[in-house]
Amino acid sequence: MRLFEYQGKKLIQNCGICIPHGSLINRSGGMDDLALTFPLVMKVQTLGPSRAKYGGVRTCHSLQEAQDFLTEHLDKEFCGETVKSILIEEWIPFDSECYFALRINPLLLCIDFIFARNGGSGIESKTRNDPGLLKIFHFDPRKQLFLYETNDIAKEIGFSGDLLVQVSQLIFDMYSGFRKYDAKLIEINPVVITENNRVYALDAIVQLDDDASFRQELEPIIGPSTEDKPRASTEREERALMIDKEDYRGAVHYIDLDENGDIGLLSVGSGFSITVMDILNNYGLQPANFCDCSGNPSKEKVANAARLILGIPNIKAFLFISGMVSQPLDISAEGLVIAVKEMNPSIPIYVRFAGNQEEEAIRILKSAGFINVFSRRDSVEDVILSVKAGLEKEKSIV
Amino acid sequence: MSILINEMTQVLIQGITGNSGQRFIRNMSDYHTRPVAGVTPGKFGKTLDGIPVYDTVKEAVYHHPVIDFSSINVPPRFVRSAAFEAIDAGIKRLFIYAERVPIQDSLEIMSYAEKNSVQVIGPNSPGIISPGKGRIGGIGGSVDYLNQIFKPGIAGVVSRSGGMTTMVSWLLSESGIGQSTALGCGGDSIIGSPAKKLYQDFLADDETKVVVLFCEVGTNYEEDFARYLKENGMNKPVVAFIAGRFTLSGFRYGHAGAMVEGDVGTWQSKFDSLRDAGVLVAEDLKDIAILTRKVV
Repeated sequence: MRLFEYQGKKLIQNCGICIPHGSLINRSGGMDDLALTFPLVMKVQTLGPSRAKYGGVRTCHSLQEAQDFLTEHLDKEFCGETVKSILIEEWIPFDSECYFALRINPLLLCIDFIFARNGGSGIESKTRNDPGLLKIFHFDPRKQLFLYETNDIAKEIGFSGDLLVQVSQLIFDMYSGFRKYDAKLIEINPVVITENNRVYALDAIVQLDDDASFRQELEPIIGPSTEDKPRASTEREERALMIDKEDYRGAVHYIDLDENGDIGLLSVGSGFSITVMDILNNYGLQPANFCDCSGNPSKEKVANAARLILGIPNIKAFLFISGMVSQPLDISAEGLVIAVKEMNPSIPIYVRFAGNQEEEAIRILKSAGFINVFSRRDSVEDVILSVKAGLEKEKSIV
Repeated sequence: MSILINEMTQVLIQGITGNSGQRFIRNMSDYHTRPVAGVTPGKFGKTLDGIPVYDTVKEAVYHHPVIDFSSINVPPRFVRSAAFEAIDAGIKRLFIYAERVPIQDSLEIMSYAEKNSVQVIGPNSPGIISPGKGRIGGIGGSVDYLNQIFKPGIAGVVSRSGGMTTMVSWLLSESGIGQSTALGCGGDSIIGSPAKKLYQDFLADDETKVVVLFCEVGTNYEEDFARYLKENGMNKPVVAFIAGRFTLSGFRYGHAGAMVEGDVGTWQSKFDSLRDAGVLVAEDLKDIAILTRKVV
């Protein structure tokens, strides 16, 4: 889960890190009750990169300017996202800015502490050209972190005196938060040093581990959580979640891909499903969706998934396809028959059954009148070519 | 030979009284592998299909000193404790079935395992099979069915996806190439034995002549493996298929690990680095067996 800036900041503030005073605005009159001092900084709350570069961050010197920014961005599109809120913050003048990040390193099995003495926007390209600008420390996740170690780090990055103590504490707090909240990444860019030697986090990118959410209580700190994907869920995705929840047998993972896609896709196994997506694309066909229905689903669950996919408006064919699966396919066959009988779709249905109980599954479909039924003897590529040939034939008739 | 398991492998099942634990007793004992003991705290003295249940791993190891593998069949939130328990009791190989284990837990498990020279397969692995010799986990399902898929032979098969371990093995078997050992290395974003580790195991196995990989977008294990091959040379040929060329960045396609984040884990980066290291990269499923035939 990626947090919005304001959420990430609340989280690190909760760990003891200083952030600017601020408020979140999510309606057009939202500034009316605030006592504002100018200049102030306004920032759209979106998840994409380079907000500043595209005008999503502005230092405003008057109420008029602030109102204009609000009108310009609130509830409007910004780099493909809808701006649902704007963070309004005190303006903090600073002498220098640094880059601090903590992230999991799966290859070295440690947590990386990453720093650049000169941070700020454009740090990615600066460090790409000169990786020497980054200092990286590898920390053993099973060790307890001590302040003396963050003192070492702060010294090595180039701090001294009172700043060394403050920066060391900030790194220490950042790490404590990283562990406490099951983070995958905490990036503070910039950490700024003011004229009178105070240290603030002016921005924060925080990614948390969804698979640890069962042991986290974040809502009281950061408010309602955001979704772990670049856009809001579609109605069909919500329905797929319900289908998955209502029946514990098997699992359904559904993603809407391309509303103009040709193929409604239902496949078995997540590795196989992304493979099929690739092969469809290789052969010039666009899947409208991704749907993995595996792990021994009941026939009702398969039927529900098939109904959902058959209901995608613009698809020209429906494809159920399995690799070599050990789950009994006759059950999937029964599910498909239920959905197709009920929906009576006008588009052609293609099925490839390969795996356990494949012969019985094929028999069930054939006796229910399915025409395009394939077995393990037909390669995945050949089945997809048949779908393609079918679509082309259809086109030529029209 | 084979890697990881053979005809003699003795297995402990942690979480033996749970659903998957009980299923695994049958899966393994139906196929040459002996579950010798199980652990579920509070269930000491019970037996399941003739297998004694203990409260702790230490106790199980005391009564069964030759345990080669522990199959960890506990829910994700208990995996960390179970893995540390097995490592502390001196077991040298762990198999983790659960998927979506919290990343920081996996990180600690793998770091502790490495320090104690313990090899971990998973999390999110369907199992390990050496055709004709044995299996850990439920990979392949019923013996009848798995005998149609897996044949003894010369290919080491490593897959990020459970289902594709079976599919790739079947494609190979159909063109006359059997498997020395085939396993799902796990679909989570942190796994104990990625391709680089397993390749080194296969290098040490005389029977294995070629290693076939099924990779997915997400993480940078493949790039790391490619670096290893460039530095150390390719002493046994490698064939790979990379799934997820057309996945969208930031979406999770089923497996926890299969997610492109920013510019990390893209199909292109894996394709380029593996190919540059001399790996034969198949662009269609059917090419996997064709390319494998070429090098053996």
